[in-house]
Amino acid sequence: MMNVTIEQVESGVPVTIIKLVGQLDASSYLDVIETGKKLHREGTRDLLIDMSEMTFMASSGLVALHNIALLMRGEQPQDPEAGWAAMHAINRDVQNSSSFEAHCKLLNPTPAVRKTLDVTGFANLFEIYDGRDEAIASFG
Amino acid sequence: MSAITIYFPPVCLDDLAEIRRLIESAVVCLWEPGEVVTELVIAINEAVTNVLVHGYQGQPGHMVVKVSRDNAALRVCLQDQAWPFNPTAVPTPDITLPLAQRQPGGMGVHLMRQFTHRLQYRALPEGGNELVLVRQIEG
Repeated sequence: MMNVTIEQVESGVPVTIIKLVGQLDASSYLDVIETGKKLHREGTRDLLIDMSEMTFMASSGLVALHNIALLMRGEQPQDPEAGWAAMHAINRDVQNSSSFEAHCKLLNPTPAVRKTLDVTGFANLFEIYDGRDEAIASFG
Repeated sequence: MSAITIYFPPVCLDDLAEIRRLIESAVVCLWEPGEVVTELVIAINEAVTNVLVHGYQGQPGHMVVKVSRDNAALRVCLQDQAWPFNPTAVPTPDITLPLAQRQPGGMGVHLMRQFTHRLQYRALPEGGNELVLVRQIEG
């Protein structure tokens, strides 16, 4: 079960904060991707994902992160229905990434979630902040 | 050796959180809560998800999970009645190779390998699959 709250703040540029509360797994990742698409349609271009109350994240959650990051980058995301095949593209980006995502950043992941980010290389793709104010200011 | 067996009725992806809760409860009966349990539950979740997505192909299906412990390791044996699917055959993503040379593979299996010390698969003679995840706890 995953609950999502959305907040808009200003930091030189408009920043949307999406807070994911609960467990992000194969039963919920498509909903998170749809939320990301909706935000993008509505104009969001800089996104902070608050993971401070995300108690669990599976590999399918990585697919959601990847899709949303591509959206914010202005690229066509992977087809979420082909989420498992999208893992291949994630591997590609882990390999080729030379810098952090500029428009999609992560806030305060819980230790269990941080562990998954670390061992999959995702911690090398996203800027990860402990403090909300610092994270918001980084978009400006 | 101590062991706990959980017989799941037909389950689907929407049941994942409850499946994790029950399996974690069994594991913490055998080993103290902490990093080992957290990592093992992440690995088991990926194994269960593979069964539901690839084995049962989105349809509800039965699973039996046996959690056991000896002096050296925690073992989680996952049996299903699904189409054959061998996650140990999924190649490990090699992020040192160029894209064109890289083998396909999944992060789910990568997480399973990262958070266990051994994965053992066999197709069951009566049909279905058995996957054993072994996590060393000492030595």
